[in-house]
Amino acid sequence: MLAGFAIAALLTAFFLVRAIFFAVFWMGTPPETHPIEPWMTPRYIARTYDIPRADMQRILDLAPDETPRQPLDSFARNRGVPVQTYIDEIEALLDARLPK
Amino acid sequence: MTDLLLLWVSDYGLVVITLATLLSCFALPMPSSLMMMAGGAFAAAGDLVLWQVCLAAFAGAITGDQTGYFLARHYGGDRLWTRLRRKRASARLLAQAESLLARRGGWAVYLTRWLFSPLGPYVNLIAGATRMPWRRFVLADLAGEATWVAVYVTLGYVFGSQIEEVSDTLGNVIGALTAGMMTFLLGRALWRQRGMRP
Repeated sequence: MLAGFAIAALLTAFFLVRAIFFAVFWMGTPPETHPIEPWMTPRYIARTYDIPRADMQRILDLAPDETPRQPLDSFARNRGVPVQTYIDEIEALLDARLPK
Repeated sequence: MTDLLLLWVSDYGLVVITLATLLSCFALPMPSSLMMMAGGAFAAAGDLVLWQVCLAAFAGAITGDQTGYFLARHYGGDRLWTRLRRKRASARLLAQAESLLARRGGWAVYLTRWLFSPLGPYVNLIAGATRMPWRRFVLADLAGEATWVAVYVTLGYVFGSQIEEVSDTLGNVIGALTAGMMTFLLGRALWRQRGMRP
């Protein structure tokens, strides 16, 4: 039981340190610098990064009333476009907007 | 790995969330809290519906917990428990666990749903094996899983793009709390043992 106690105490310390590390990392990264990822859906991207609907429609080449509910990854695959192309275009838009 | 799971959530939606919470009740390593947060984030964006995300996660979790409880209760868990209790090596520890569960079983079930969630699957099995009254188990289970789902889906809804960072931090906080609680319980048991054998 003593060994169990020692292991539990070590684990507690381990998780505490990790929790603090991740919390510091989280506080240090502003949300708008989080990279665009293939699992994100167009609407999710538009909302989190505050991209106007018109810009999003233009980049993804959508009809005015089209709102795909699929992630960027399968959306790109259906179009036969590499997903990175869309990601780059969206990131370029965000970079242009960032304060210098 | 995380990205792949998030891709599944955005590709298949609710089914994946239900499966994740269901499997996490059997101690399978499932980042179910991250997936619930993803569900909340997609609901905020309008790609999923909030109440459906909550219901999907809740249904999976309750089904998993009840399965664990009934498997332990009806398929030999109780007999295994009785046999282990007769063994000298494990008798005392198991008797302590059983009396703790008899006195504070409802709270144990409630808190291991969300605050000490890594212990949840084992508490289901012990509750079934020691024949904890089903009514008490199910009430605490419903309340606990409702808390769990509400907390994580809300976090996802609010934090959006930061769900991965939130999940990393919170996962370790839960780990520290659980390990800390185990340290406390083991320390207390050691202390009492020392008192009995001066």
